[in-house]
Amino acid sequence: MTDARTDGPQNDRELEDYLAGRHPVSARYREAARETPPPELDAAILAAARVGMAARPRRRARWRVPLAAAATMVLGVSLVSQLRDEAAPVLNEDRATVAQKERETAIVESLATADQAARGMAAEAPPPAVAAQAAQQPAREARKAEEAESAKRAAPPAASVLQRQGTVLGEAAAPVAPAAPEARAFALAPPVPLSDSVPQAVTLERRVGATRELLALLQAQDAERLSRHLDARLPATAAEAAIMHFASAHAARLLDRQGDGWRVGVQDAAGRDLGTIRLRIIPAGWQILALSPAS
Amino acid sequence: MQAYAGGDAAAFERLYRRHKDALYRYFLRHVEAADAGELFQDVWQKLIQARGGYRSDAPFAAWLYRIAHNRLVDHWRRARPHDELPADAVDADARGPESQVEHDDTARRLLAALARLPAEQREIIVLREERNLTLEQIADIQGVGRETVKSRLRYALAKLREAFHD
Repeated sequence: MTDARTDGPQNDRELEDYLAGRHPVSARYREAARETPPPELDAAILAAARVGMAARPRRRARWRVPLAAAATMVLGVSLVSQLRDEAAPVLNEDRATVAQKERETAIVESLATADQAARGMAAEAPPPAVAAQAAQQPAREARKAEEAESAKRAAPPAASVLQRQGTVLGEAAAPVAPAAPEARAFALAPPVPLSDSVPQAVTLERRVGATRELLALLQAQDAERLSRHLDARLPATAAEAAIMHFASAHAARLLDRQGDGWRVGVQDAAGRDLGTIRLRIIPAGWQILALSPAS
Repeated sequence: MQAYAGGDAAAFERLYRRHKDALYRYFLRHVEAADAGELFQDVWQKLIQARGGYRSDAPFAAWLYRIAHNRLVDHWRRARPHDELPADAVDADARGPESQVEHDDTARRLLAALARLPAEQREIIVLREERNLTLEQIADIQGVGRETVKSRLRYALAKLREAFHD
């Protein structure tokens, strides 16, 4: 292309014609511009707007910091669990083929990791947010037996681990009670070194990095930095909307995996179903794929 | 927008239907289709969250595209933190199959020529064609003066004209 000259009367006329809608570029553009967003994108955004009406416009509130800590724990647990799940040899393959024994092993390992973290915590006083997370825990042994029993039952593929997470999510929102010294601390479970053994290391490392960062802040017990971290990582995205819902709803359960996302059930404080959210992890945080308000 | 900010949920749908296609194409002219969908969704979600901050003295379209412009710049900076804004957009023919439309030769040539424009010139054409924004509104979105926008527009038109004379 030759250098485009922009001075002179021709360009002034051309500009006038264009601003008056008489330029051929306008007609050609109208002819060319026919793309529209995919229907599923329309549906997701309209659903987000309907659900968003239930939440007040964005405003930083005093509950935000403890909420951020709680939400980070939830995200941390979910991320770690997903990473563990994705690091399995069946990465990105049909999870229905995962052997029952592997699921049982995952649960047992999760318990062992949590126990280890809990023992590490025992020497230190937990921060308020962690106390909330650890609140209302029954005896560890009883829970372990219950989980082992649950793992043995014929559950849908990969459902055991996910339902386990759902329990943790629900507990995170439970009313605060005095923390037991041996309380489980799933949120404080250290990250699993996955990146060394996963073939898709490049992709996964970004997620692992995000998880490590979250957990490092969590383990540093710095609620204010956690809040800032969430603000920086999840600004004005559906992820924050999900967290806002987590706050307003006081209950959320990770239900199952759907396609490349995770389905989360949201309830209000009275236990009424608000609907479900399908999320997926993206390098910058989380992205809502679909919102399905309860009818 | 005021109706939606005031709690009228149906108002959002009307607003969305009115602006969605143009906004989607705004992003398609600047980034690949997959990113366009993500940025498009981000803008609407930001709008949902920020609805309380909408001021009725600003035209909604100008407000919407200011959000979109900022999101686009943020996207570029994240993708290439050490670069200036990209000089070239994604060529229309290089996009994914789901985003390709059946254009005749003229339309395809226009989109290709548009994609070769510097981003700030291309954005002016897109904002004019999609939403008929005024030069002042575009200047406000781009954070420059009206004369700068006029100058960029002159260059853009001249390059597009030459592309069709090649």
